[in-house]
Amino acid sequence: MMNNIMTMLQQFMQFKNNFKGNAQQQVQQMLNSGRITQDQYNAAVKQAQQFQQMFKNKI
Amino acid sequence: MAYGNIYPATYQPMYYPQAAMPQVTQPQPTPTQTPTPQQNQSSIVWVQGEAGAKSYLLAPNTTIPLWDSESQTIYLKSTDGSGMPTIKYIDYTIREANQKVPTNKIVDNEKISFATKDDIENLAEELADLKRRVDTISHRPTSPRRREATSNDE
Repeated sequence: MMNNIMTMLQQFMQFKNNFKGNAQQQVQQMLNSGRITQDQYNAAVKQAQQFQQMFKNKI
Repeated sequence: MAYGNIYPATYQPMYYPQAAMPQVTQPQPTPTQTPTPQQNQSSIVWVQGEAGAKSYLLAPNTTIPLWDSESQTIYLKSTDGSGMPTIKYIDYTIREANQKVPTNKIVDNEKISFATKDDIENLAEELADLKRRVDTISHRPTSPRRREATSNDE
């Protein structure tokens, strides 16, 4: 479990370092263009919040 | 003793039409698609404070209630066709089931009477008239009797 979280964290950090531009702007553009729906965005936010909570509790 | 062909040379084996018929492909029952596990998508979206509501992204022409996890506030966030967001703030209170809604805060519009614009203009005219009268009285020269009375006092 701990290893999984650490791997996930490493992958996230790698993604974060490679990411260029304004994330919020890019997501807003995806919403505006219809590439993702509001429901998909809501679900993603909820998942992110759950992960955030999990990291808070475990680390 | 050898067993030869017991059938005469002219014998033709019986024709089994079923065997010769091409197999009719039975319609295969389509595998029932197992429904994807529904995510627990409750309608409540929690945000942290007003900043959380402001940073919550919305697709154009969408309205969503965002519940503040830090205070008893609901942010009703909407976007127009261009994606321009507006937020309405709704503060709520929590009460017990046996508690009654305080009625004294509810304004009874029928008990409140309003003055019309005409009423106010009439009142303004009356005030102006009164002011004119007061001005004329104060500027009127004092009568001789009154003058005598004032000199006796001295």
